[in-house]
Amino acid sequence: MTDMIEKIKLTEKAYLAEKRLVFGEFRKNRLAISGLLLIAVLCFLAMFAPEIAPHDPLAQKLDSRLLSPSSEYPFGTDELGRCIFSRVVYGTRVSLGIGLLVVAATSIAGTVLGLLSGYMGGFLDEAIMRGVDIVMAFPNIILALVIAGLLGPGFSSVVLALALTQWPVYARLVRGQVLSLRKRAFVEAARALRPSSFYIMRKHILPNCMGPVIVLGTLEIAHVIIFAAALSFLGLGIQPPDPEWGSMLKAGIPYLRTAPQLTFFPGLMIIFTVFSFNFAGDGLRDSFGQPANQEVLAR
Amino acid sequence: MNRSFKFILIICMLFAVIGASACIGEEKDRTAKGAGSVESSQELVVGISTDVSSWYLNMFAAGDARFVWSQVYETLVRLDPDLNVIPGLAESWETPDDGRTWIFHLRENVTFHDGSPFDADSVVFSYSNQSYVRQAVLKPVQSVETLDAHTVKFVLEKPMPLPFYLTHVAWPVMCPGCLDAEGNFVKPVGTGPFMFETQKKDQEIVLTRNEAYWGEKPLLDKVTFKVIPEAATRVIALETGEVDMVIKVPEYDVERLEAEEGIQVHRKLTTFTDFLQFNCDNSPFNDTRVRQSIAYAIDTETLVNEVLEGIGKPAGGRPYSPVMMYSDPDLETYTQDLDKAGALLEEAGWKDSDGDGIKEKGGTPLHVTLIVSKGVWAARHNPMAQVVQGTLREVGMDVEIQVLDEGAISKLENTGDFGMILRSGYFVWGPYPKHFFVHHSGSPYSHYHNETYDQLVNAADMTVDTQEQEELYHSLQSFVIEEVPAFYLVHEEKVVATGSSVKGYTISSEDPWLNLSGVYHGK
Amino acid sequence: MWKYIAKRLAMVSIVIAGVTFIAFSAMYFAPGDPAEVIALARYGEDLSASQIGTLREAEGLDAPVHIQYLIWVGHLLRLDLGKSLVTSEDVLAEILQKLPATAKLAIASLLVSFLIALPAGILSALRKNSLLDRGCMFVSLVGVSIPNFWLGLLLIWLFALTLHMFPSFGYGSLKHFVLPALTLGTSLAAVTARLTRASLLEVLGQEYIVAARARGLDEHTILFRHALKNALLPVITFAGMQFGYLLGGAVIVETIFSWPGIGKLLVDSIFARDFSMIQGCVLFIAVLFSLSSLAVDILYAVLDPRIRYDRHD
Repeated sequence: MTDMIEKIKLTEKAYLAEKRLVFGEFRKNRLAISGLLLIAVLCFLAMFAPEIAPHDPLAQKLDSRLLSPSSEYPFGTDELGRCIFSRVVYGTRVSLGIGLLVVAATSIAGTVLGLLSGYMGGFLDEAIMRGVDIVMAFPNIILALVIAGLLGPGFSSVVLALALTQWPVYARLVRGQVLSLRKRAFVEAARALRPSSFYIMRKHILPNCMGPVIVLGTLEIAHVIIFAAALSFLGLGIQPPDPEWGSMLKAGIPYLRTAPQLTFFPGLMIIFTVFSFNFAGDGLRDSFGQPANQEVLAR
Repeated sequence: MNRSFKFILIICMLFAVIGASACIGEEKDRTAKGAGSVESSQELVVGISTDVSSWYLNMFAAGDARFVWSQVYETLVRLDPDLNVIPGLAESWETPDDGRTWIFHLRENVTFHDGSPFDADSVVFSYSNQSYVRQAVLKPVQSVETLDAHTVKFVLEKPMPLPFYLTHVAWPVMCPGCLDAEGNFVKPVGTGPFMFETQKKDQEIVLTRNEAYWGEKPLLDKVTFKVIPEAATRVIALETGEVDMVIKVPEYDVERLEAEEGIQVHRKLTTFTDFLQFNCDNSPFNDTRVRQSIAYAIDTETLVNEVLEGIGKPAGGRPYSPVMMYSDPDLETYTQDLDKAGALLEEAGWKDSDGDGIKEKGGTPLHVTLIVSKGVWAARHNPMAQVVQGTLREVGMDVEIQVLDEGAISKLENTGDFGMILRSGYFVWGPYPKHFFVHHSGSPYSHYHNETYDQLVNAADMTVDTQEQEELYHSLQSFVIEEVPAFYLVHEEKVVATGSSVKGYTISSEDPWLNLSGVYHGK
Repeated sequence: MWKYIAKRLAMVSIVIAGVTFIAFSAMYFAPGDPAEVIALARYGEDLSASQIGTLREAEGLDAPVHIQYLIWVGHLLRLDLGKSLVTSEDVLAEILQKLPATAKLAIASLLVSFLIALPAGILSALRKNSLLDRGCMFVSLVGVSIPNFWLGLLLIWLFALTLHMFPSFGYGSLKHFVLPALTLGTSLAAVTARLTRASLLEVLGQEYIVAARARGLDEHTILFRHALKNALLPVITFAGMQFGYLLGGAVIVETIFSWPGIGKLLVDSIFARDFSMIQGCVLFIAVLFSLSSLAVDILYAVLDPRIRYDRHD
């Protein structure tokens, strides 16, 4: 019996080695490391926003409106005399907050559904996969846009709208992983040994799905942040006066000519953030030795 | 099948599918070519912010439709650029019984765009009880009758200064030929200097010169109104020469445009006054002290000088713009006093007991919504709303800004589902202060109920005696200052900008009258 | 293969049924009585309360929700999407009127993306790990990170405001296409370039290419006669996903450039609380997207019977 278990462990280890699911590889990947460093910078900004920001991000100073960057206002001031730098820094909290919340919720929900779908098969599989198809029938941002629009703007509706529309990618990915894992010898053997589905899923399948889910999750944070900013840009997300990059961009449009700093810096910050997560996600994917999966790539 | 052939096939089919759908509406796009390209053609391209969604008298001409209507349609009574009442399609008028009956003598030898004569019948047609104006504004009108081919009599339930009401371009005289035999609307037919040519939904409206115009002949051959919703985009279009004229230029662009060579900026104080409309039916605005507190908190001078670049006049609560009749020059308006504002809130029972900066009463925080339109006025109203939000926070009021479309706001206004609405002028065409009705209990949108106010309004609108009117309107203004059914912020200055070749334009105080009669392209 | 097609068809039908359900539930977000909203959507604004009451009975609007849904689907099957709550215009007619603008923008953007992405992707794959490859992939990673609303504003600032080269808004002449198509096309190009590279690399590693090399065929012939057409097949069929991307991106790009398409119509309807129009737009977009994916899948199946379709099994 113990012998058997040892054997299962060995084959699983061999599988892992084959998938190069090891962080040693990751450490060698400069791409991924620099991505993570960039993310660390962002987290630092978010955590220490009150210390870093020279001004209150909401404080209006109407006699110093639309100022160009200076030592007092590193990115200048906006149409109400607020410090753009401080707003951008505080905006990190909003965007990262939305990104992490949504990705945490959707990756857990999507993974569970994907596991169930892939492992149980049958009607449950059909039902979950059709659910996935239905949500994915709304391309890109459309469904989130409508949900946020119907719920009315605000932090919680942005999170809800994105959470309700982003889970299917994980479900689909995990289901695919489960299907390929199920055919592996170690899973087959484990099933013969201990038929509890829950145990097998938890012990053997789930851990082996984590790599791709982490990769996808990292890329998804980038995605969710762009979507959230887009919702705010359209006026359906975070509302003024809260500092959010998308809504700052929107507020800057009228001043595009006279004060481009209003649109320039928040946009740059979005790019920096999204780029960091994409960079890290790409690096992670390479070090997990995953093929360029179309679905992951396209996100 | 050869593989490269298959590959090409896929591409072709893909493009064919998308291309086929692209062709569905293709033929409609042919007329758009060559707009504004040839200067000698005397075509004026005007950037406006909304399309014309209705052309017929059964609907109100919403948004910027009135700027277009005023080229095609005309009213019986008109206003000159300084808001003096002048004859329009009616040469003269009189009231034999102090405002209950009005007789209009119509201009002769005027024809509609379809060649049919303008006469008393068309006036009766235009002010039938099917018309929007009879249903919504001129409810006291009992009948409109023809006395002869060029004389019309309006009979009212009560005395009313009717000619002022007839100046509005949204209820002009239309030709019965607008309709087909079944009574369906076909196309706009008016008497104005320009005739309707084509319209492309949400894109442009093209008008051509009415060669048979009765008044001063227009110099332009053609006027194209381009629909450009975003104010910033509209200004850019002027700067890049895509349009020759833009209306509703945002305040922050004025200084730059004035400095720009070739661009002329035209400004004039209008009858419009931005205001905060309160829902006085519900807490917290059912308490006069809360409304007064807001009046003390908001510094309208700052709004004008800092947010609107000094364009406009601070109102400080004054409901009638200085260019309006009976606007009281000695009215005592509000100046900012944050201590007093805070004290008034405390008096009303709102106190900050948990030290979070927001006042509470009975455990409920002082949280209110401020609705701002996404539409035409967004460019000026968004920053104004945020300044109001920032100021009110200082006195302990938490304001949530909601940006909505005009139509959606009307619905909320109707159901009373709001706290405050930031409004631009309302009911303020022409010099006569009809806009008092906004806070009258009888108004469907009023969320203010006060008998004294209602009585004052009724009395003021019943008299045609100017002395008496003046007194009543002065006391109405003092009443609004005292009771604050709404807080009036800024008397709006209207800004129109024109490109270098545009000559002969005079801006008028009356907002929708975009007078293009003397305009032409010159060197 | 026919079995596969039949199965795909069945699945799309289920998906579309689900989509209608989601669209239907949008009505229940409308403030006030949903029945009234639906009645207004069907017959226009000028209804009195008593008329609505009569309609409610006649149309079964007081029936349980599932019956109402079935009635509503019945209307859909007759291509009756109702009337706008704001303008009283026919929803489907309105959408069809906006369709050409969106479709044209999509084609133009697709062209832009192919023009940028194919050369970049092919060069990167051929010189794998070279400076050029790394550069291209870095740029494309930055490219996917640029939000299209920011890119659009940047292009307006540069080409319309500063250089006065292209109009910043509107629709009509070829010039109007440049900035919106660039905005939408560039971000799509970033993804397509990466896909092209990955796909070509995979093909280049395959046996027949290696064999061709061994036979001494020159690189040029290998690339253009053998590798490229196989590598681009997934790129082209990926267009289904690209189409979805374009539809979603159109919402933002059309809003920035005042482009009279479906995306702008949807955003405007959301702000106008025009629920029937929102419903119509969402339904139309989702069905269009589903059908286009179906078409691409079937086409792919017809053209390349080698490939097994077990994505959903």
